Amino acid sequence: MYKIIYKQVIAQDIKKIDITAPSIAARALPGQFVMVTPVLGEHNVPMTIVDHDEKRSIITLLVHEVGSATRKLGDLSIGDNVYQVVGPLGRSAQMDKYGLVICVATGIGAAQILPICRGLKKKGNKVIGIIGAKSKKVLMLESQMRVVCDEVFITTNDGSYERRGLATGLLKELLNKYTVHRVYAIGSVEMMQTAAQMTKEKNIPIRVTLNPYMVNGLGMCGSCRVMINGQPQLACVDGPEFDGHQVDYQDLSQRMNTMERHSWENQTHPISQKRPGFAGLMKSLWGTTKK
Amino acid sequence: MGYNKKIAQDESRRCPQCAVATCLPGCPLGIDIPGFIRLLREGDATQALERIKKENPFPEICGHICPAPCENACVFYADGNPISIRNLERFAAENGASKVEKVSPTPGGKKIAIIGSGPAGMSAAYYLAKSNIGVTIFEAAHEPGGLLRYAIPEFRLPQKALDEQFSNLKLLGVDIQTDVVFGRTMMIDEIFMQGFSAILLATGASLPVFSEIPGVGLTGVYYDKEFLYRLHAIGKDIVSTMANRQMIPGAKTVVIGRGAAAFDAARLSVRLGSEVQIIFEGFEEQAGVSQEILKESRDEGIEIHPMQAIEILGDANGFVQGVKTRQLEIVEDKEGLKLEPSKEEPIILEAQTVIIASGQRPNDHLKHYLPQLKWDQDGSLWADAEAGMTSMEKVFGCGSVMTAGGSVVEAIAGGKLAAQKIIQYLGTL
Repeated sequence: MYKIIYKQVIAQDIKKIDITAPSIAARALPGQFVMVTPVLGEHNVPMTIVDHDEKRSIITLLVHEVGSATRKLGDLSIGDNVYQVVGPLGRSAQMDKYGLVICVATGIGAAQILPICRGLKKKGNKVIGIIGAKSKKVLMLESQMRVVCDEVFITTNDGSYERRGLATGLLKELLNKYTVHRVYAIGSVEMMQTAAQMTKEKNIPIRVTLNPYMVNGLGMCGSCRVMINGQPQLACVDGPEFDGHQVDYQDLSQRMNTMERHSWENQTHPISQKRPGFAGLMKSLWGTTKK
Repeated sequence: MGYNKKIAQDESRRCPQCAVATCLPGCPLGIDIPGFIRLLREGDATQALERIKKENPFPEICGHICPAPCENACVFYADGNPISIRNLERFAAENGASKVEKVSPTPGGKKIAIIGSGPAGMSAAYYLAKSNIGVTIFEAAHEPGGLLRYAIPEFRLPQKALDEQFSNLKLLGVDIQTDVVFGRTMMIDEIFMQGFSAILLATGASLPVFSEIPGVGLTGVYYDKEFLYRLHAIGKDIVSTMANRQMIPGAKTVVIGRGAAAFDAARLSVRLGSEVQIIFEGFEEQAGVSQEILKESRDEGIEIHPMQAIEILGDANGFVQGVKTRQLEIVEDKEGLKLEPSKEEPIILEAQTVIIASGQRPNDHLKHYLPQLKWDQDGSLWADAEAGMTSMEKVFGCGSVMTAGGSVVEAIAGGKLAAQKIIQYLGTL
């Protein structure tokens, strides 16, 4: 039923897939997500709907291969069926005509910011996009962002492409240069926290999209609870977008910690995690030819 | 393990068949308990099952997980050895030959949409389908069953028993659509456009009431349902290996709270190799589970203490280290025995995992999606007592969403009542 009809590798460990899901494609709003179970017996993973096409009834997802479930999803090829896709879940991003809007994203956050940029542009805002990446290798969605935004800035941590430095450094420059009406930030907790501090000094509203560990995304378990203004709220039902000034980042980083420790455990475990891949194939081929 | 024939017969012979049966008002469903036990005594499991099925559509499920309020009402309860009615029901369900008559809804007749396939939704679907009304269940998860499937561990309720119930429901002509989130994938007006006469909300109450103990944000603190869902999400087959790898639970677990979910989480942790302590503010009789489960839990090595949790302690990296607790002492006053916090120094229980069971409330999503719905003070859905209809026209409610929590058997009773109300409403159309 949920058939993969297109798949493309767009950066290191990042794949873009199009899945047929008519009822989701007809209703998806910017900022919403789906819960995907790649194969029977795997976890379900929350994934932002990067794009949706009602006429072709497809949704586009970006798969960042970090754990076993995302790896299995990345391993599926065109024509295969995904076991389960539930959605669209969460609330839509807050969107209106504000004026000048800056959208900052780091890492996989770029996939989440793209639909928001598109929605903001449609409402008639001037949109400046900032994408932060570790290096050029893992930079993604650059061309799509250039189409959607009025202006796009790119920073890489190692300086391998465009500007060297952090996305928040660039944000600070822009905030000093222009009169900004609103900021959207998605990425690591530290980045969002810094962005929230910067905007607080200048009294600019900021919206952040939080990615805590989610179990089913239906508001059933309270696993994705985050502290907003001193009150626990659920990222899957009340969010995932919140007012950046009200988020308790310390609590959030503590809650995200869980996931990181689990990922570590997964990575160090020897079975089935390591794939030979192209490099392994070449190595073995070299071995045979040399002999 | 269920009873074999010999034990079942011995146990049913123990029932004194009281002239005024005290167990009868104990059952929310109103099963004829002395009646079916009498039939079991005569060795007729099939007849006994028939007798149970008159009032309870799912004896297999209740036989496994019912908290058995009837046993607490049994005349032998005071002696500490009530008749094990739940196990007898299970014996009847497992050994009686049940016949499922195939019913098909009247063509062109009325249709009802049920949101949620938990115990309340299942029971409402059963009774509506029996009255030749077309029923479609919309379920958000991939497999039907709701809480029965996702929050009750395999050792308490085998998934096979649950699958059987759903295949029986399908024989009754019930259509089950999974992966459909009400208000997200399927909107309310679309449901009415498809020709449904009414909607029954059986969305349950599985969201935890957030606790106010300091330190709930630490890594390694889970709410009861969250813990059970996570372990279910990991998968039945790989649960033990994966759980070890993910370090849930740690070597020592403290469960704060009571109720069936708390004991399920505790017993699951024991099975995954953790040392478990359950602490709650109250006597053991107030644990919210049957005597049998209390006994089994203790046999499995779970320690149960009356204690008050003050604070959850963490290390520098935000991982749980322990729970600071205060002992409760038994004090006698005019009203009887009471528990009060002692004046002694607090005790610190070491723990790598803390599970909090602090009660449940309905899902927030429903409140966002249908702001017209009226809610009661305690967080439960308001409905007209007479007609059973909520504050929205053509929208009914049943199960835990109406009571903000409760046992499975209460939910089944709620579904049964809602089905009667809907049939009554359809008659007026």
